[in-house]
Order: sequence, then C-alpha cells, then structure tokens
Amino acid sequence: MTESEIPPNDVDNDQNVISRVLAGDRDAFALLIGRYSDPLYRHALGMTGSPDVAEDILQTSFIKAYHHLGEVRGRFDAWLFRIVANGCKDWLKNIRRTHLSYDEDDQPSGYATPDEDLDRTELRQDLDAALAQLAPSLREAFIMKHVEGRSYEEMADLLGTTVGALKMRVHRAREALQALLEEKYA
Amino acid sequence: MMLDRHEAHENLNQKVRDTRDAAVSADRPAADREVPLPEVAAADTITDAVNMWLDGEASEADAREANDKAVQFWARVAKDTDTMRHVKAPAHLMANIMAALPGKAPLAD
Repeated sequence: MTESEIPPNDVDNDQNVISRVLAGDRDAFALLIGRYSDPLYRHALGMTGSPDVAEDILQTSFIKAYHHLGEVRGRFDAWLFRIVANGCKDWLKNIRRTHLSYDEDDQPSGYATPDEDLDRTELRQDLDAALAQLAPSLREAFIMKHVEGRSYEEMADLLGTTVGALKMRVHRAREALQALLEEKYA
Repeated sequence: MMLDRHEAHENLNQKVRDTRDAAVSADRPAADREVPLPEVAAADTITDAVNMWLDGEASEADAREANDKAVQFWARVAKDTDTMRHVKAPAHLMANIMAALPGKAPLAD
C-alpha cells in the first residue's frame, strides 16, 4: 500500500510509521523521534538532573528501539517510555554504586539559550538537589506528575502499576521535598 | 538465672544487630533507606487537603485552610515545574540519533 492509499488520519500513526521503517524506510524513524523526544527528554532530565546524561539516555534508547522495532506489541509510546525510564534507573543505580556524584558546576542547564539559563531560579537548583535525594521510584512519580503533568491513570498505564500506588509515591515525594525545602521557601 | 542469661544474650545480639544495621545503613544512600528523610514537625507535614488540592481533588481554599504555608510553598514549586515542562530536547539530538542508526532496516519479528 502506498502512502497515498492510507487514510489521512492514519498516515502518521505510530504503527504505520513502524511498518514503514520495518519495510526499509529508515528515514521514517525520524517521525517517531520528533514525536516523542521532547517529553522523553524532560523525563530523563528530571530523573538525572543532567542535560548531557539525558541526551545520552535518549540517544541510546532510540537506537535500542530501532533495533527492536519489530518486537513492539501494543502502544509504541508506552514501550519507548519504558526503555527510557529503565535507562534512567540504570544510570541512577550505577552512579550510586560507584559513589559518583556529578558536581553542580558541571551541570549545564536544560534550557536552550543563555538568557533562559540566567532565569534558572535558585528554587530550581534546590529542587534538583532535593529530587536527587529521593529514591528513584519517588523521583520518577514526582517528575511524571509535576513536571510532565501526567494524570495518575496515564502514569499507571505507562509504569504498569496502580493509581493508588502512584498516589502514595507522589505523596511521599511531596512530603520529603517539602520537608527539605519548606524552611527556605515557605 | 537461665532466663536472665538468655535475656542478656538476646540484648547482646540486639546490640550487635543494631551496630551491624547502622553500619549497613551508613553505606547506603539516604534515599534507599526506609526511613523518613529529615525529622519533620507534625504541623509541617503535608496534609491530606494539600495533597488533594495538588491532585486536583480539592479546592485551594480548602487546602489553605488546612495548611496555608504548604500551599504557598507548592505554588512556588508549581511555577518552577511549569517552566521545566517547556524544556525541549536539543535540536541536534535527532540528527545524532539518525546518524547512529544502522543502514539496514530492523528485523520484523
């Protein structure tokens, strides 16, 4: 079937793009990168606190996704999210195991221009530092809820857990962050 | 006496366990420990009303009534997380990924 024969609404849906890539249209994979790189980058940046690491995780994840594209069952976005989320957790595990910690001075910000960089607030830096003290599962839940703005239902769908469990994680994360930051900011 | 010795032995074992647990705990990052992070006074803890407000299940007025300080704090955090929500992936990322992909198509399962 040629692209002109596909109903307009379906031309760019994930499954069609995947079929095109599997049929040899390598460049079509760029559609999937363009569609999902921003939200996934925000997730990786929130989880790692480092733009460079977030970029590496995304690059590795998309390449892995390309190699295993034929194994996608169900929603591609959820499958891809899990690859990125696992990449973030693996990085956090490794950095803890080796007792490496990234120096704050080595962290370029996630903002695009120097002007925006100047606007990076003290609260943002403190929030990053406080997030780094949370267990990965709490940090993940907080980032998905407060930074990515996802609903609990969407989070449960992506993470394969229950709304109740995620609410508990978000509430515990809030409790910890408030305790760490409230004295300075409230 | 036996009972006393037994209790003393148990106390000793408990001390050993406590020391060992403390040593193990000290080696682990704070976030992995199953304890609350800092000590927090009860009045400072986030209340159900505030959590419900943050989850969109209660009004700000209700939350303020329960814990005004916490509402002020989370309003400040929300401004910052809103900014984070607009961060975009670096422009060169797509080109880097495409350049790193193999020339041949992935295998269909």
